[in-house]
Amino acid sequence: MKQEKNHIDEQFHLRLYGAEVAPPAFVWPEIERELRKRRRRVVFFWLFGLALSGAGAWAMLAGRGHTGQAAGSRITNAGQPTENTLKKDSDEQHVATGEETRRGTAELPDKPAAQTSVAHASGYHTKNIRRQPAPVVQPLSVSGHTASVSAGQQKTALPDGSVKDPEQAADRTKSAIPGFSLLDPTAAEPLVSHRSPEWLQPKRFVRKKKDSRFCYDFTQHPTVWLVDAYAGPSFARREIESNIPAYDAYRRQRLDTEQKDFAFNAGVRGSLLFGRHFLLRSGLHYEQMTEVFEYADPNYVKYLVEITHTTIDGKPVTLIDTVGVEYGENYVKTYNRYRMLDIPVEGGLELRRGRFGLSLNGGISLNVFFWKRGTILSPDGKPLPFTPGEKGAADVFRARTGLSLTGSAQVFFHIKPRLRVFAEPYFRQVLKPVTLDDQPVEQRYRMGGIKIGLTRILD
Amino acid sequence: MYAVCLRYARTPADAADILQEGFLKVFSKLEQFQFQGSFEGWIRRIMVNTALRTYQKQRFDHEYSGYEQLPDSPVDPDAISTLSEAELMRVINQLPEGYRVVFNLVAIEGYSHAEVAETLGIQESTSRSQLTKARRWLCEQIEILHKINA
Repeated sequence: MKQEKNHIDEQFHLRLYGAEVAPPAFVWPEIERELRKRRRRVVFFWLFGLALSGAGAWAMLAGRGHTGQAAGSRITNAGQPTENTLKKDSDEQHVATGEETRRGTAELPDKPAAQTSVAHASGYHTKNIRRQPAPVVQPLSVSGHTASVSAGQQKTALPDGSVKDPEQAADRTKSAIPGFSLLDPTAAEPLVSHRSPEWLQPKRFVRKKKDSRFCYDFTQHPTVWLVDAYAGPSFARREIESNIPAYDAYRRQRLDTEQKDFAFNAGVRGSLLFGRHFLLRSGLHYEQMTEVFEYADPNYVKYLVEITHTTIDGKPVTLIDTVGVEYGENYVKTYNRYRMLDIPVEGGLELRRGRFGLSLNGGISLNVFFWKRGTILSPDGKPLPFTPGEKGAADVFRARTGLSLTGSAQVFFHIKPRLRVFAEPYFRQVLKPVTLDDQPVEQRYRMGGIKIGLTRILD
Repeated sequence: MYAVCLRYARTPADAADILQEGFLKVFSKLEQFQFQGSFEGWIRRIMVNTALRTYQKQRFDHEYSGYEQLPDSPVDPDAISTLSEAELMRVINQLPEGYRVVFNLVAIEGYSHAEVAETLGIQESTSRSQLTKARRWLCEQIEILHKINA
């Protein structure tokens, strides 16, 4: 002991520090059983993690296979180009070769333009071109106004058996690379750029296509039912108001003795989606708020009274005698709980893009049950229980809180075509005070929070 | 270790729970023992921390309303030596919760008030006053027992 060690402490320390008591016999088997259970749990979590990783890897590989297939279909189309595809392919080729020119390295496009563009579109442009057996070409010299081919000028055998002549290749480069002719001193036209640099051109907006593996087709089913289950943390803002100035001190005491604590919400909800974007929602919403009531009376006096029933001269007599007075502290701490069960009725608008979506909701909520339990400070400064049915409890709160206004914004993500996960920040204002009309102060609530849950689409 | 748990718990059943939870922690965190200080001390510390956490959890879960009496009676400290260990344990278990925890930590385990304040999340002054009150309470109880035994 490091400080203020006195005789009592020492005695207790000496007698009890090393004291041993045999625990009950059931403790050791219990510990063994629990250890075994924990080990099994660890194994299960490892297996679950492995399975999850495997599923993720499989999903990734499947995704790649899907992309490859898409690129393959482009190659098939490129073999029979329409007017539009030809124009597009030509544009893409310009972009690719223009970039190469900027880097100072021109590689010979010895494959048809359509295939080059396909490679570019599939994301393997650079890789594919590097693998081509094209001859090494000298960097294009802009300052010297010349475009010369490598000094070696050797003919290179191509994989298809043909022989590539560097001069011919250089000619093809000139014709294939836009702006190349501008660098040619023999060209008749002045050095004027006919197109803006690629990085200045506006990028085309490509609408992200819905992935049928994950997205539900609302065009086929414009009217469907949705079922939500959710839960999440909440924040309850309580207001205690008084219109009577005489109760202002009491209002402050109430605020001092009650502190907000944990709050949460949970519920189930059914929604009708119609017209592809409009929602009508209803269900059951549960909300629980906890507040801590803390009260201490440091000058508490307790009188010990002895009551004796006796008989004097044949008559029953009750004697009351104060045998002692004790001075101490009266400390009360309770966790006041307010629970509400409501039926919300809301309208909403749902917007979707790809697997993501947003819905904006608003409406009213009707309270069905309002449970309350705990203690508050009474106007005379004493703890006053308000739990219905409890001995000495006072009627402080209404049986039901009535109507509330609600609003929320839901962000959702499709895990499967018929399954979504969502997060929904919400706000709720209880319109009437939750206290009875005869109370000296009014207690009002405003709630906010987030609903996190799953939606199942039924059609 | 069961005796340590008994001093902090309200009932023997709670003490058994604390012992079980404490030993599970010992087995699962065995690799964290640094071989600095005694192994017994390390286990004891785990038991005390487990008991304190249980105590704090129960304090959160239960509503309570308490009347705390502050006796101010003269005590003969030598009366302690006449009592058995079981009686001393019983006296400690009769202490109000806050007093019991602080007394156990400071007087028996040898924690400083700063450590108690940090562990329980209270002020050092509160720890000191709780200890003083606990001592007074114990003295009175011991004196009563001493008189009964005599």
